Amino acid sequence: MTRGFAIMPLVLAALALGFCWHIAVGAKSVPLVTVFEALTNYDQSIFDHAVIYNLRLPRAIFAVVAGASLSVAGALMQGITRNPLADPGILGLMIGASFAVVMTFGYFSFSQVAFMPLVAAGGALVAAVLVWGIALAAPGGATPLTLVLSGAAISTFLGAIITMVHLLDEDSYIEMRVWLTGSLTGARMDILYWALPWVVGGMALALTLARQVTALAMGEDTANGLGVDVVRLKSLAMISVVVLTGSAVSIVGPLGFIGLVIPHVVRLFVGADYRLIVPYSAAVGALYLLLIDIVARIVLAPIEISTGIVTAMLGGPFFVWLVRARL
Amino acid sequence: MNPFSLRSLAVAAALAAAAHLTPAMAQEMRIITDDTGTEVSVPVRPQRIVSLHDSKLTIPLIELGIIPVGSHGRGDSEATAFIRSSAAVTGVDFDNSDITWVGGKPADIEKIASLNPDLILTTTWQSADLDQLRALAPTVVFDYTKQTEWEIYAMIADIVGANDKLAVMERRYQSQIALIREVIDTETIMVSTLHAQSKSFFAFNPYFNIGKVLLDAGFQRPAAIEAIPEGDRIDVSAEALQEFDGDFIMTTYRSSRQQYPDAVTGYMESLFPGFCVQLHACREGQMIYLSRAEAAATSYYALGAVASSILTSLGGRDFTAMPR
Repeated sequence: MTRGFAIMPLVLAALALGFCWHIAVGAKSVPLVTVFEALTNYDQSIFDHAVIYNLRLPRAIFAVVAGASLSVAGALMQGITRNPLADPGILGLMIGASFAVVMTFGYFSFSQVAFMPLVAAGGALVAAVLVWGIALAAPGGATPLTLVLSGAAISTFLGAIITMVHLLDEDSYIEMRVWLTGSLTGARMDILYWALPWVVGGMALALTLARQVTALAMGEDTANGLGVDVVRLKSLAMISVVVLTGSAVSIVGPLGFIGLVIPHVVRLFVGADYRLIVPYSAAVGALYLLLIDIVARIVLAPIEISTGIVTAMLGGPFFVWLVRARL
Repeated sequence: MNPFSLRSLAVAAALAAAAHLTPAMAQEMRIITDDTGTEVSVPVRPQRIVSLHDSKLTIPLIELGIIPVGSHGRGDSEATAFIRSSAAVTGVDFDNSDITWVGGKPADIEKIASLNPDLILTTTWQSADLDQLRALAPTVVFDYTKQTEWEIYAMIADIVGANDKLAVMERRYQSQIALIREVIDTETIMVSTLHAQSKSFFAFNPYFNIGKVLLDAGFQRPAAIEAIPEGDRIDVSAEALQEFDGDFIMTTYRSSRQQYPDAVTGYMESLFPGFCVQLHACREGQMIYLSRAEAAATSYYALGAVASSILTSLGGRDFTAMPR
């Protein structure tokens, strides 16, 4: 176990470098000296300082929080469902969270953003229960395939309602169109403040459950034999998953495939122990989203691509590979 | 002959019969070429026009004194539908006129057919099937990438025989522009147009009526706006915000969605916390907020309102020039 953390300093160093790179590059060229000055001696009257301090620094923080949250949510889902394809996006939690946000804050014009993480988590939970229920009712029960298929069904169904609501009132939803693609542009600091306690709670719960999830990942019989209360564990893990997913969606919108890709990458280095997978997924997921967001900002600069489009472009082929390799 | 051929023949016959029953056939006709390059035989004095773009086609028609029998509109039902910006600039909307709402995008072909139009005006933006529209009535298609909205306005006036009315409105507008030039030293003042919504700043070249008035009056514009391809809109990275600064910045709010100037500043603040410190125009209190109803509708009334706002906001006042 201790040996497993041997490469953590390297990962954290890479994360720190990625963070610095993220705030050093962008649509506007800012000299590195100015970047350093902005961080150490901020002067709000200097435009470049404001770009670093007010735009890039918060955006990097959004990337770290959302990347870590979605990766840990994906890792936990894969552990408790013993499904290599489990991911908050593929199993419908993300569209559930998005649907709840769109309906509550778009259709019903609710304006208290303090409740956005909770609303999104509620939507993710309802979607998770629906997906689980449909998969259980299918012949053969909740297999990886039936879960993915019921996730696709729920995603399509809720996506169709979002589209319908959008079509009925195109003007009101035009601004949500970008949010629904998953974008760090214009992510709001006040929503981050409200989401942060939930993220910390969800992370702490994930870390607490990690040892038991390792046992469960070996099979329910093994977990029972090791004294794990499987029902309780799955319930608590699902709370952690929906809270982390809901928080991430409330901050940056639905960013697909991060929860799928990162835990698999992490397993290549640290094995199957969730006491390692959870913290490494958090760090690598944060780094991954920082790098993805750099690509989204500079590849077509000064035009920015929605970060969610880049995560989907990379995650889609990975999903196909995973289906061929693991199913 | 197989049954499918028979059915095709029957459909073709029905469409041909429908075309012969349209009122257009009873009128004197003339040929015009629309923006798709199609020669369209249109009535010299159309009586039953259906317009398939509310703010770009219906408003000009109303302003030219023609009440269409049907119009595209926003909203999701007869009860909630509205002609965007029309209440503010013409005073005419679905609820106080005989104009029938024919849906949004795509428009409802059956509803259009039920109005028995003798002319349909549409744009390449509208997604209703063009062949079906053409089967109902002569259909003129406008393309905003090929003509400006004001060239299209003039073409509409010509089609409906309202060139005299257009000339009067154009003269009034030109006199307003002349007054702006007399009162304000326009060529020394840089006026930017910059807008914000929840996820991005954005800019147009030019921004509809504001852009037209600024250009016609001879104001300077930021190089960043001039660099946008004509007729285009771009999303502006917050990091490039200062490139869109000016002595004055004109921005817009959507009153039709109960959004007012504070909503715009709210968007700007969330996109760039402390943006006002960074923009000369905002720092010096030289930002001007206009309703998008007047700023964007293709209407001479709206154009005049924008010209008047610019004259009032900039004329005869002291201001702090942005360091060049």
